Amino acid sequence: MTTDVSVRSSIEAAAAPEHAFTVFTDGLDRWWNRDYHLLPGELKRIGVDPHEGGRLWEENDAGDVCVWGRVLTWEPPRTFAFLWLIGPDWKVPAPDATGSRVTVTFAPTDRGTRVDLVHDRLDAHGPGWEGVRDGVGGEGGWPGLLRRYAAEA
Amino acid sequence: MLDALGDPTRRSIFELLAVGPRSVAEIAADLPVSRPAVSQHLKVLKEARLVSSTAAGTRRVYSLDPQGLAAVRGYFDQFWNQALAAFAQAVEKPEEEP
Repeated sequence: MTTDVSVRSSIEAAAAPEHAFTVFTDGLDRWWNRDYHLLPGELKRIGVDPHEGGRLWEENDAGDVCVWGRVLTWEPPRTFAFLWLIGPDWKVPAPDATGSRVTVTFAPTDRGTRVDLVHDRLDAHGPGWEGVRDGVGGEGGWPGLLRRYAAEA
Repeated sequence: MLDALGDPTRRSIFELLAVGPRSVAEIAADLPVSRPAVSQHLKVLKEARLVSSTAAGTRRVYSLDPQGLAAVRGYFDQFWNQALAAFAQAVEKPEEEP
């Protein structure tokens, strides 16, 4: 069995790569779906420390902060990669949590920027992602997705 | 494998099963889809190893396949597609006041 379990997603945006890179990283809090968070309560802020080895973190309305990722590559405006420590259960990662990897590249096009995202090493979250069954009733993750579907239907 | 989630109804079923195991009747009650159609969609999801089923007494209950990396992939595939759509909107709209 292959260990390269990955998903890919791409989108094109009408802006220069410099701007796209900035919005993806510094502007993470502007576009992140507020339904996705790990700490209890409401998501107050989510952010990225802008350097290699930096944290990806979130803060809730009680002022608690948790780290859910690490910057692996910080090469504006072309490449941003980070370690993703969150399982599909959206629980606060254990100190020894293994992570998958998200690599985002920004390439100039006629229209603006093509953004390619690869989330690989997903087998780090499986097999038997047993947490999902316990965690689905939590405040983050699945219920938020469901609400969105309900709203669209 | 992820083609199985390309259909909006199947995605809805997948999301519903993420909340907890359900029977065909329960799925059909929550979605605007007939029971036979639900069964057909479940068959596709099972073949893609996104969903598994177990017998519970006289009825059959469906859940996300807990062993299936396909389900993990399906989850993140949807997650990032939605996230990038929101990101692109943010890129193209003027900066909001903090």
